[in-house]
Amino acid sequence: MMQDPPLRILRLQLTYLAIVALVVLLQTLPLQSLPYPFAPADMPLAITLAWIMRRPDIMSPILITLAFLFADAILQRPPGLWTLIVLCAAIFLRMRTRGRKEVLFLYEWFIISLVIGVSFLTQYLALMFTFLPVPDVQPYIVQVLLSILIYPICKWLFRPMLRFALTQKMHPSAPRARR
Amino acid sequence: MARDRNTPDRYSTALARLMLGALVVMLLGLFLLWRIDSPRVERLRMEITDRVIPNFATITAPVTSAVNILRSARSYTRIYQQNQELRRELQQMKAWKEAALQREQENARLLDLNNVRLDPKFTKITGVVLADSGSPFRQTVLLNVGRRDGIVDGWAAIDGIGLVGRIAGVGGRTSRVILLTDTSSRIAVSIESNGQRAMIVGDNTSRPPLEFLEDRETVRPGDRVVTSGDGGVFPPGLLVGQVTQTQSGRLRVRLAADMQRLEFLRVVRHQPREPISTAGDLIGVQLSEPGGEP
Repeated sequence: MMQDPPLRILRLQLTYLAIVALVVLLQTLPLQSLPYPFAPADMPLAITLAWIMRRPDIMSPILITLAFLFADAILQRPPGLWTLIVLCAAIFLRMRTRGRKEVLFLYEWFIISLVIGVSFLTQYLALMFTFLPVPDVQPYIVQVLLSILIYPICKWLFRPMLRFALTQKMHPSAPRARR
Repeated sequence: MARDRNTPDRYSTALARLMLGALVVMLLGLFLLWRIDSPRVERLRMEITDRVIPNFATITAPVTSAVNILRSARSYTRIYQQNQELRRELQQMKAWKEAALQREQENARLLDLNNVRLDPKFTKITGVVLADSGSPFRQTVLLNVGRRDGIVDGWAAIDGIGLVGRIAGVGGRTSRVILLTDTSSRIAVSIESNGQRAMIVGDNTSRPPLEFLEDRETVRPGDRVVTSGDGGVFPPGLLVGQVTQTQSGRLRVRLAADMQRLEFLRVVRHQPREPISTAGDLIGVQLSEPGGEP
């Protein structure tokens, strides 16, 4: 496996926090006060999953917790619930990707869609079982689908940023792994 | 072989697992705490919002205004049509204005005859919308007036014309308004034409339905809906909107407030009525001294 200098890891971690915070705050811009006809994709989730699949080494659980607790607080969600679900999803994906080379993208996308679907379903069930108001089903499903669709875009967008700094030098087998 | 170099020693793995467990327990605990004692956690959330959003708003104000300018620019393409429409509306408005002036004089005369004193306590605090909820399932906005401006939970927020929502959550510099369209919004209203009481129940659509009507037959589309003041939370008589009927025959309210673009909101400073505490004493002859009774 490849490794980055700690300073670069720290910088990437801070970048991740800043990106999630920016996305969350941009969502709260008062541009539209009418109810949406559909629910937009959950961008923080898609970004987090893309980063985890690409760089499981920098996405520590504390980082994800911080980012999503902030989002929970600002977006008026039940605090901790969505964070917990995303954290579990992240741990699952990290365990899967540990020690593995890159897999076929379609397969990866399939796994990600499963994870996103299960996450949203878990949230729905958790809200139901704690007698909290549940969101309408139709926009909720639209949100799941859009989050799945946005994932490749997130991955492609952050690909250049998440390169390993020392790929060539550290490992002779790196070029084979990338292909 | 790659595994050998990267696999951390047992100690740090155990530590990482322990920390993960602690995180999961903490998050679960936070969620349960919020479920059990929501007001306290909500106050914490309001404080966080209070710290973050006003600072952020100064940065994003240009973005918001740029998007709004762009939207206005789009409407310039239809400017001729709009002009025609406006002219037509202006003609109608002139007729209405005459009627309104007559009514105003009549109203002033009648008020004078009745010696009515309008409530001087009705003042308003105007705030700017800083942010909305950011989530498709909540309909709220954040105002830049808060506890230091004297805002109190439960007060009504109106735009220039009609009711917009109710204050729910007050921070130091900000306060949150739950819009009428939010699923947790319930407002007691009355139909102006016949005084029937009803509730407006938000359901995440732009036209909230009118529920708990006593007699639906007497309510017609176009009737004005105002707050009834039941429960003493809201002042009575604030305009909410007009009744409309959907294809399926359900009665909904078209809100008078321009919900499309909420920019400035006024919060109505409302003192609740003083409660009448005694049931009314007997009025009659004083029989004896209170101490002298056997």
